[in-house]
Amino acid sequence: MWIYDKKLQYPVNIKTPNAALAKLIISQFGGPDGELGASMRYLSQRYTMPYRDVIGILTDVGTEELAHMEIVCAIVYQLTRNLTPEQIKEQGFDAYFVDHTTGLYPVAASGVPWNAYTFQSTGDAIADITEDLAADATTTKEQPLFRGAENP
Amino acid sequence: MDRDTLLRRLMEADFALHETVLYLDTHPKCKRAYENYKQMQKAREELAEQYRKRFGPLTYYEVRSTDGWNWTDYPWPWQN
Repeated sequence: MWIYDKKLQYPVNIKTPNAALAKLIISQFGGPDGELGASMRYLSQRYTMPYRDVIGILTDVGTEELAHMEIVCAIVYQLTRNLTPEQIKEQGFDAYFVDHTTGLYPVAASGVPWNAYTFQSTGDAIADITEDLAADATTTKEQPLFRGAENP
Repeated sequence: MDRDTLLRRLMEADFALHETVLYLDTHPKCKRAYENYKQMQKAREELAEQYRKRFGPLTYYEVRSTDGWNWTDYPWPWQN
């Protein structure tokens, strides 16, 4: 079972709202390579793993991905705080806003809602671990996108 | 007490505590519920401590084994 720790794994203190950036970063919440999918992947695969150390790491990494999800949500929340209707339009946040206002909804940057089709759980240790490697490698592809956004 | 019995006691204590927490979340000024919580918090911790000492850690914050990392030791909760 799980318990909740009332703290972020890493602090989030955004001074300047930026809805255009939030539109991209939200993909790390509900996109095909986001933290929600990562967590569900590891936490689904662990049951049939034939090694205790692999069960252990899938449990602990899957739990950590939930902590990452919370950080991403905190970022999106702070990036979309205190916006005027004009800013919402100018920054291209109007399409998201009409459906969700500033509520956190797990969705890809392209607008596709989070879907379990973004991962696999096969019951085969080698297939699952290989899928995990492929999934983890996707984190490097986002980095250039967010370069320059280190201190918003 | 064997492992299954102690574990069942701990599950019961945790469940009772959790339901009280749910009540307190929406009734934070209820003194009776808060007294109840404090009693159950103590009972829970005593059971958890007994369990940890005899059967290993419940969370990775509590690993105290003197012969190495035992966090991943069998059984995991779905294996019985």
